Amino acid sequence: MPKMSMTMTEGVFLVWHKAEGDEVREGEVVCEVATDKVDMEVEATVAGTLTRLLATPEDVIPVGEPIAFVAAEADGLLDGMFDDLDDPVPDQAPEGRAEPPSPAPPVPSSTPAAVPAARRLAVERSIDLATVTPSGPWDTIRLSDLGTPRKPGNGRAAVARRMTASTQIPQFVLYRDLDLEPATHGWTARFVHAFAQALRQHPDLNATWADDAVQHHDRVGVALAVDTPRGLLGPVLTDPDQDSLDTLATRIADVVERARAGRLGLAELSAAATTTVSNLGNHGVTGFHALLTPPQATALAVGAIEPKVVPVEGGIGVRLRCTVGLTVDHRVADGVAGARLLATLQELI
Amino acid sequence: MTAVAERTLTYAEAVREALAQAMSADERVFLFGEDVGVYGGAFGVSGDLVHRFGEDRVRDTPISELGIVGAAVGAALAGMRPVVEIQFSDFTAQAMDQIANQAAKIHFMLGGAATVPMVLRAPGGSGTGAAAQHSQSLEAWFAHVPGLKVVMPATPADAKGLLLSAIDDPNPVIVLEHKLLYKQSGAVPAEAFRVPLGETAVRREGRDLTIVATGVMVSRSLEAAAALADEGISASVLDPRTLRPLDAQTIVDSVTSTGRALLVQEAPKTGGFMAEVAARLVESPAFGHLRAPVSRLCGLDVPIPYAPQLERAAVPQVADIVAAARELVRRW
Repeated sequence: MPKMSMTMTEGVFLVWHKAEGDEVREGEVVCEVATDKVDMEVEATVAGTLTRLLATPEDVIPVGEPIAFVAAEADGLLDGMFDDLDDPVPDQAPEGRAEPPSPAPPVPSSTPAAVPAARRLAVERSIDLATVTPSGPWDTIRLSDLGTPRKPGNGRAAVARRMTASTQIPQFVLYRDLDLEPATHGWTARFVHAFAQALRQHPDLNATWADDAVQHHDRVGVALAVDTPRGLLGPVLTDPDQDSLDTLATRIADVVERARAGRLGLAELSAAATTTVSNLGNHGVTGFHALLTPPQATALAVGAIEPKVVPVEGGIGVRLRCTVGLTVDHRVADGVAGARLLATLQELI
Repeated sequence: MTAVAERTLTYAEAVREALAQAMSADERVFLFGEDVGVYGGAFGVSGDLVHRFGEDRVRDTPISELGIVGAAVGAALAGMRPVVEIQFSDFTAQAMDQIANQAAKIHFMLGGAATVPMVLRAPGGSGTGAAAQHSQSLEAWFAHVPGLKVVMPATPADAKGLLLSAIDDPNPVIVLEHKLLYKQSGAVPAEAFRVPLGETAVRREGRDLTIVATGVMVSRSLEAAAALADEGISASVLDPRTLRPLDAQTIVDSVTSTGRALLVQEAPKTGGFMAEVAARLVESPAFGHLRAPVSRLCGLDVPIPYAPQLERAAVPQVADIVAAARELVRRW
């Protein structure tokens, strides 16, 4: 199981593109694996014959464990494959000093040489260039070294896996109409901020059901559901309640822009999330039921924020209202705990 | 109209037709240079114009390039529309003070109070056995001077349409023709049509690389692109036509789409105009789409040799363009 990002410790095996006994060429796609958020193609690092396939679909395999055996005559098959990517290679070159002009031997560098188009595609497809074998001149990664573009490319498989797993969780939804005051900051920032704060005040819901017990988390990680050309993405905002609203609004704008441009880092997608916030209010949806994303125990679904005619003291008035749906993992907490969380959300927002 | 538009002229005839139409339409336009009169021009471009427009408007001059251009600058300042012919673009070296220090600067230094609507036509390029002092490609000299516009027509139609735009322009415009192109034929509209300055022409569209070429290298690149197509390599061929002001956007758009750029010029590589195009590309949004280093194929950094074999070897030929393009696509 190759290490495809700095944070990857294990991968889910998805599918073989080759069978036992097949010849593989260096750089040829042999299988696909999933990190927790993204599906990746795995290329042969050597040419040879696939003598034995070990992994089967849905296997969860730690990084560095074998998924197959290749018979090859090349030397140094594992050379550098599992070098610790977490330790940044210290940059020896003193600043301002020119590199020697001779092209060989290649100067060791912490960033792999790659043509700009390959860098761009690697970001779009969340591929760590350190895992790509260069075939271009000067040991440069060419565009074709990244393999052919994946046809589906809309993240359906990843969503399908997460949501199918979600159906195994007993979950309930609570709806509440929130009374809102007009404000200068964007509603997304305000909801993320207030909801993270509310979760911090209700640690029993900032939790995960695992090993037949509730596991509590110190940090609040809010995955923000973002609709992108590549499908639904959930970049994670860690402890957003610790930011000022200004800072958080800027952070969210940046994350959303990069999500839509396909420029999120894998780490942003795979950071620990304890909840998800989705907002369909802009699309005219008044209220909805979001499915939990395992292992998160809550999900907040934000509907349209609109002026509504409501009873006020002494008559009828117009107030800014919004229906939110709070989905809760029933193994983690009961209805009343969710109701209290929503009451706190109303107070904070 | 269709029948007329399909009419074929040589590049030299197209230039002559533009001059005749401009002189017919505007009595301020006159032709000025060595042997442009009775002799008909060093390369026969002015031809019979002296008989059609008279010796006042098709004026033979002494052999003094500095004097010719200086007089033209003065005439332009006085309200005329001079079209100067310099027999070989190499000889503009003699006139460079008038071109670079006078014509290019006057409008700016007089705060816009005066203009120099002068056109300077001169043939450049190698391939005629004219040796080192009569074969240079000097477009980069002029393109480096703010205040000058620089045009390099590569087809008979552009030779006419760009020249008419140059004559209309209130600024000094250097029109660099090519000696080898004068006898090439092509469809040229009969009417006095204009090809706007500052518009890159897409001569051929392809997927795998963008070839940018000027002057005689445009037709060589098109020949190369046809040969490459037989190998399964699909090349775009772009002709900037105007070097200054350069329409870089069209080039950027093409390279953004193909990811590879091969820049072809006859001039020596060092300090050449294609270095400017290369820099524009890597400074542009096309950078992120590059799948290969921006690559130049240029003349050698030598004076053009007299020996025909060496002369040919000193500048890119069709086979060189094919090989360079193939290499760029195969390696990257």
